[in-house]
Amino acid sequence: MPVISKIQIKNASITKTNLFKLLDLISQEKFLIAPAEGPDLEDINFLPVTGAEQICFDYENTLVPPKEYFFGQSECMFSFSPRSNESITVTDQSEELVFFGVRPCDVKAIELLDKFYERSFVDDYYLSKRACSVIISVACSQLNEECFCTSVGSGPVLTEGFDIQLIDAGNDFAVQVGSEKGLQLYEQYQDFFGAPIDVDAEKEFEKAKASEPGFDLQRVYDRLKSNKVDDRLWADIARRCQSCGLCLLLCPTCSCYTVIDRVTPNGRNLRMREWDCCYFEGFTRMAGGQNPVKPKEEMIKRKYYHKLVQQIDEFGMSGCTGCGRCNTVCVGNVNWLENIRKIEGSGRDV
Amino acid sequence: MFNSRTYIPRATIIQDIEDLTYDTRLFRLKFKGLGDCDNSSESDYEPGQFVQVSVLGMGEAPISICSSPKDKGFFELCVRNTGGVTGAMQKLEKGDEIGVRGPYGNNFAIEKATGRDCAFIAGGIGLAPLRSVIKYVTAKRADYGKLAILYGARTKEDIVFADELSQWAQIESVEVHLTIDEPQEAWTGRTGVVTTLIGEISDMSEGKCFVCGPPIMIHFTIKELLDAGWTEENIIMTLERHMKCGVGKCGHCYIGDKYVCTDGPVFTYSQINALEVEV
Repeated sequence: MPVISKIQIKNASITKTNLFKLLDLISQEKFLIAPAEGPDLEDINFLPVTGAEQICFDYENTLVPPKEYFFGQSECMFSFSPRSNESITVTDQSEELVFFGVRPCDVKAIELLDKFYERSFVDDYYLSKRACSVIISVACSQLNEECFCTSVGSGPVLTEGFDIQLIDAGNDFAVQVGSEKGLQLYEQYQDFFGAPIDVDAEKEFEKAKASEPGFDLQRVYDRLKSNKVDDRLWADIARRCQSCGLCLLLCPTCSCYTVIDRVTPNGRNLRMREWDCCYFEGFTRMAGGQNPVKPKEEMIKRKYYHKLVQQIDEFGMSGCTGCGRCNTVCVGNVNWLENIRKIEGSGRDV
Repeated sequence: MFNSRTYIPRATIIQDIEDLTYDTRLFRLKFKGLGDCDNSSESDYEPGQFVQVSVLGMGEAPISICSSPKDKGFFELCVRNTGGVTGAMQKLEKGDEIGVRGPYGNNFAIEKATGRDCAFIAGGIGLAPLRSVIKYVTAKRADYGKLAILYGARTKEDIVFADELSQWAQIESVEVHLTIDEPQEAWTGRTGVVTTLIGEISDMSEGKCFVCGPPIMIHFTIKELLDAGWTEENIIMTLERHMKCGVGKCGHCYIGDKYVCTDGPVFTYSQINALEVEV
């Protein structure tokens, strides 16, 4: 069964006062994850909240994307006794999670991950967590410095693929309910919502697009697919990249992992899967030491190709959703957006 | 599928272990208990497929199945000591347990070779996955044309499946040619790398050629085959990659627009060319 069962979009509205009250109630009745300041850091991240006053409403986006709730940075696949495969125990996710404040780019990223984990072979760990989650996303009313969602078709307002979407309209939010799960949540808390109000999503999109340093995705796709990118670009990125992996760890669509068995003296033996990065040198190294993807240029090219060609071919949507996190965190000043624009321009007839 | 949940290995019991060389062992495995996915029926795996072998506490490694689907009631894995999991497997004994997931990957598409000559060129432990298909075609001998097996090992101590190589040579119109890299005491056979044997199959270039071995051996073998008139489409080889999941999720084996674990590991040379992979 698909993770999201789309329905015809149902429109409503909610006042900002009521939204606060609603989130407060949800945080007490269910498990609510929302943008909040961590205890030690000023960074805004998706954290469990137990009251609406803990939620940060004035945020651009979180530092870490919400994928970690469905595909954990380090998660147990099963526990075992080292002697017997029949001792294997799997714990399935069953607790309902309600997310508030996920941005359209991250909702799109989750949509891509859904498609990736649903295609054969299905990944129970991810899908079981997705099945018991419902997302209230908040459309962006302004474009942030590093974002470029309009170039990759993932914002600033979604047209489908969300559970519930809120669009800022001054004192109120326009509310759109787009899935069965969203409808269930809406109906459970129906009293908080009011009659539909008008928002001009198209105008928002045009406004955002005009202010964005965008690119033509189709042209980028064509350049990469036909291998017409100047090799000096890959060499330049390879020289700057320190292989720290931050851009990949914080990418809302990156899904690579490694598998590690943890055997501890106290008998808690776990097979773990943990985020891994295709920019790490050992990523493709085989037993015996041979590495078929050795030159860094090849690693880098593979990432661009994977997100901007292969995932478009396979899933019909860009593997980059334009959140811009990778640009913000790079220690080597590699700018993904700038490089995409260089790819777009490479080979252009002058 | 041997296992019912994607990432959960199924228990097998080691029925027998044969030391093939100083660092390579042949494991004969049987499923522990009889569940709904017993491997006694022929369709359970195809020549060329692999399993994720799991040694709990050490991890998993992708290993080709080297028995034939025609072998009933068990399957075999040929494992060389090269890493953590394969190292741990050297310490296992008859009666011990190993977990497996799979079978994964595509296969040698042997049905496309029906009625045609087939050559098998293997280097070192590369004979293991080819053994599966060699056993399969020799069991259905009448369905194929001439068969030739070219095998090269570093030293005579590195030769795997020596007895079976001589048994295959006894079968009608099956040629077997062996070579080791350097001359050695008490070796009367040929010396030189496996590509020096390709002249023996010059009359088979209209047939299919299955190649498996270390990257350097594959590189030169393909060059020689193309020079000898084989088409890219008729050269069939396996790609080796680091893998964690075997099911197209962990990303380690992703190249071009393919996942070696689910789209491969068997590719024709023309497919490899399209992927722009250097071999």
